[in-house]
Amino acid sequence: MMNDQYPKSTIRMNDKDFPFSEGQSILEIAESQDYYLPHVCYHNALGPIQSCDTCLVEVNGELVRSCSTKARPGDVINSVSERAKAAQLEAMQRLLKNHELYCTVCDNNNGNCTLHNTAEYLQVEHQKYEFQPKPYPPDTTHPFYRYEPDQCILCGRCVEACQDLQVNETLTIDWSMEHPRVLWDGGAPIDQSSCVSCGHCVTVCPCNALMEKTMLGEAGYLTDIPNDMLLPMIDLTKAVEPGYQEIFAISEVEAAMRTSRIKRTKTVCTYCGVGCSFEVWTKGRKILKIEPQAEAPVNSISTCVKGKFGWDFVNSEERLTHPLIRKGDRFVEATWDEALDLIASKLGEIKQKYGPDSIGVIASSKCSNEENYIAQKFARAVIGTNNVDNCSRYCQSPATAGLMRTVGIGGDAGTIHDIASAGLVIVVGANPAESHPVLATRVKRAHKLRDQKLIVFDLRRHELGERADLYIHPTPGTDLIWMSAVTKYIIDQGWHDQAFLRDRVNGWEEYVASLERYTLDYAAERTGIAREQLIQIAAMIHEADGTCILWAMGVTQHMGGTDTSTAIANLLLVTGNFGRPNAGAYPLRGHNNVQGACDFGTMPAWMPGYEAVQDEKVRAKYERAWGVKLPEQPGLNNHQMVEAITKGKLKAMYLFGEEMALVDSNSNHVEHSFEQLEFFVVQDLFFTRTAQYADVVLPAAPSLEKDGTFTNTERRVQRFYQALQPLGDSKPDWEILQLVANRMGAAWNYRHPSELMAEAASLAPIFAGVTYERLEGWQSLLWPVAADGSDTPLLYKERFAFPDGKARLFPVEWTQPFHPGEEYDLHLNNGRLLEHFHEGNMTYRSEGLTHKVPREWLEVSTELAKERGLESGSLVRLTSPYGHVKVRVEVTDTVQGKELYLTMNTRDPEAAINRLTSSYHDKITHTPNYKEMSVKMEVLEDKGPKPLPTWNHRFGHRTPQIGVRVEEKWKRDDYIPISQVIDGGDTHGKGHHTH
Amino acid sequence: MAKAITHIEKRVPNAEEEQAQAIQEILTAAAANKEALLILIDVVNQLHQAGLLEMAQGFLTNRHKIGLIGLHQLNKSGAQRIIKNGMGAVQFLSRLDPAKLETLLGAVATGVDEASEAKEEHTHLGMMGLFKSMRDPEVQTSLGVMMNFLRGMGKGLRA
Repeated sequence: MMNDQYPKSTIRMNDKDFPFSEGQSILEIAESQDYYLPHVCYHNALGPIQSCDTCLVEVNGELVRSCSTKARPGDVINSVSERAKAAQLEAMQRLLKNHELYCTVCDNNNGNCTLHNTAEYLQVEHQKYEFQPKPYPPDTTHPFYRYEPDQCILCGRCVEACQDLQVNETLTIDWSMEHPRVLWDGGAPIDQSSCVSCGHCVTVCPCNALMEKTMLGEAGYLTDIPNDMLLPMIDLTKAVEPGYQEIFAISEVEAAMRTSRIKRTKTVCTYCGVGCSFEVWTKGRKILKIEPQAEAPVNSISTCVKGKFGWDFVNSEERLTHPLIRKGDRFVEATWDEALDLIASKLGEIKQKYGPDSIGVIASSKCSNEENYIAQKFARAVIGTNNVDNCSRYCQSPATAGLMRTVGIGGDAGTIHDIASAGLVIVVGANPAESHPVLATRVKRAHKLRDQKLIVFDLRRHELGERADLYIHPTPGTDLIWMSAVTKYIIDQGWHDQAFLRDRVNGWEEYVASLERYTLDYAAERTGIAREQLIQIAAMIHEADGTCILWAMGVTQHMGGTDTSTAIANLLLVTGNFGRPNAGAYPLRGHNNVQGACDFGTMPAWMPGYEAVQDEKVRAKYERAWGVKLPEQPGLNNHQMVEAITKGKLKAMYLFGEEMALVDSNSNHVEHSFEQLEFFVVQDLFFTRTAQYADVVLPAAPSLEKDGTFTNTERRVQRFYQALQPLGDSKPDWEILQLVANRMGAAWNYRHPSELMAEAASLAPIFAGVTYERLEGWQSLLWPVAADGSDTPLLYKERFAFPDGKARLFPVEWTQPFHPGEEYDLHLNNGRLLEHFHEGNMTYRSEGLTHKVPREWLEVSTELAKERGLESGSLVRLTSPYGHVKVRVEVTDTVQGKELYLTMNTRDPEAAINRLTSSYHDKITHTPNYKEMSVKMEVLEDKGPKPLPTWNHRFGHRTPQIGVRVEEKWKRDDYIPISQVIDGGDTHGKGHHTH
Repeated sequence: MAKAITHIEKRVPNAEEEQAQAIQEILTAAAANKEALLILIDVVNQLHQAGLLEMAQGFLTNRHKIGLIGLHQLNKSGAQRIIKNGMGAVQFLSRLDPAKLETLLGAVATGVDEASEAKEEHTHLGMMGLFKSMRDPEVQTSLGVMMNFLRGMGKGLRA
């Protein structure tokens, strides 16, 4: 009727015009313009669930759900009419039948309880339908969270998040039960289910049905009341209640009182390279919970088990709280002055006696950008050496080198959003579901809901392998061959992007010639991949609207790691998959700040921002700024430092935030070299294996105890803020490094990390516009950042990072992987796992994580187990030419044939993978070939305790479905559409939303 | 040559050191808040002399038990009624316009005065006297108010 009166792009809601874009629902329009419409089950990260009905509004006179009703131009909407309000109130009354409002004594009463706030908005006065407890006890089996069915309003948010956002597919609601409830694996105790403890369900729960256990009895002033007191109190309140509005008033006062004692601090996760950010809630030193926020640029509300629950290490009893000095056969606690004096005098002495290049600095990819910046400045300007490196040498340097050769920048081409929107995702030698869990959720979601295609190349059929359209098991170490063959086939078919290659890429002819030998037959023979599959892969890339290739250690930790990374870039260049959205190369960085450590110059050949040490102009710039003369030649990398120690050339080492004794390959050799150091400083949170070799151990502070920035795998710089005071006498790494530098005569005066960032930004062009102000709160910047603050989410849109702006196809040859000899008959693979980070120095400090995974294990295929008479729990000894380990077996079909997989989560040297690995390495970057080892196996015990407990998610049984299946709720006999109750007889609102 | 060692000799501050440090912290805080502390000490002394401190001590020490007793009593239906009626009365009061109530209560007070004076006189009011009084404009005003009240209450009852 009034449709023509308004411009096509607006709706009129409650007598106010709202512009909108096509496809938006009414609730989305309202939310995006900060206009409140009541809702409970809708969540902007989950979309409409349609189970609660509190968002009912009148659209052109018809009662419909605003969450799922798409707006049409000129719609006239009323959310505050008598009829709409009656419908919303009726919906709320139905929810409250399932939920007792005892807000003041509820740990979720923190001002952000969706149910509380909506009930208050709707001015609920009394319970229309009597509260009915459900006939199920609370489930408290899981170490990190509990489910209370009696408080559960069955909105389905948790199910939606588990099924379609995290895509672990554990939670369902069985609407056919007499009293429906949320089920794990269809009815298992939570701890025994396939739940990966990612916390999505707890985060999205709009009330207190799902709560972090760390919140219970802690968050409120009155929530620690024992049950024998609490229950009569609730009875009393209910018996005498004058109406809910008064109760809400009291609970709001209580919630307001909580704000002064619960501190909410934005932080960035300290584990993997995905770069999740979220709030951490603390009360004193207690960490109450991690509270994700939709504004977080990478992860929104998503987390994994470590990010959501793995923070116990911060308050661990085992944290170092005083400097330690080696005295004879023991370490003695010392004051900072004693420790600093000793370090300054020893390093000074060694520098004087043997020269600055006799000292090396190992920086940390767990530490901030600012700390890496100050570390390289310390090495170069104070000690006077380029012997500075970080742990990317162990993992990502080949990927960086491969990209710098071809496209010019060693970083991800785009963002997690490009990966989520790609037509095809190819994962090579990576296990994102465990190593980059939140990034994997985006792939799983796109694959499940949007039919994104997924190809996985891996020795193990891990979770993404299971889900893939095409899972391919190549012969170990042959990725370069299939990549080259697929590229050749694409060119032979004329499927290559000719315009792109002509305009934007150099080296075509030489490159095409280099592919000659990579025929399908040759590739099939070497890789074990069938011709038809190679053709299918080529066709899928050809047909896809944007291909993203994700890779990790399965590619890089080989002697040909750089070349295989190069082959990936070549394939993407040939198919035009650079410089456009939803495509490109994505090396998945392993540590939270492995990207940033490299970016800020803890590399022997690079100053901050990848400017070459050897470039005179670059050096001159830093010499002017720092007022010193800088060393001219690239220094030693990690690997070369260890070699230099054994050759007697490197005499002292300063290492922080790195467990080198366990994570460098061939650890027997590394430990032996540490013994030869004249002076060794180790700076860490804990007394690590590496620290055992130190002369001075300095107590450092973790991310929650300092300010700084991290750069994630996307090149995204994000700020984290101090939530707690440093424990004991520990100090932030940047402060310690400044203290040491000043003892050695530097006279630096950085008062805050922002001053270090300002200095780096003034010197390194790619960070020109990075400032702490531009990174305030949830804001982030993806480098290169121009001086005006404009950043670069997508690289190479106009030009590649070479002087002529063109990419370079770079011919590469396959390198035969290392094999120790015929007697070593089993291939040994290794890697990370979900619950622990690396060797577990941080994660084993969590009781809950250790409950889920207490130790490392060796995966053995069912075939091999049968052949050798093994079962889960058997104890075996593995021997390589470099050492041996004793580990317990887990029989699984994740691995096949004579391929073994040893998880790296151990602090026990007797079980550590790097007792077995060699010192061979990538030719270009010296990254160890961790993934190239074969071993022989000896059975020590046929039977024994299984290494993994039955309460591990790997033994659960998923229950996949799309969403919460609200249609089944609507089919229940006891479901009467609300419009029917309000208007009598009308059945609108039953699953029919678009009009 | 540095072999791996794991033995750490903690410089555990002895009990005296810890105590000395704690006392120092307290003294610093006390000196900074001298005025307030002296007043507080006086208040505490008064509470002690009045026996209130001991009472509070007993109450706090046994708070769980007392709380349970209290709740048990409060959960009896009689007690619930008292609370509910109490809250109802409070709500009733919240609905009254204080200005109007003041006028009415003022009138009632005058009425009470008059009535008690009349009681002293002990005069017998016959039917005639009653009718005569009805003509009194003040009595008429009161009756009018009463009638309006009854009408309003009737509306409330029928709603």
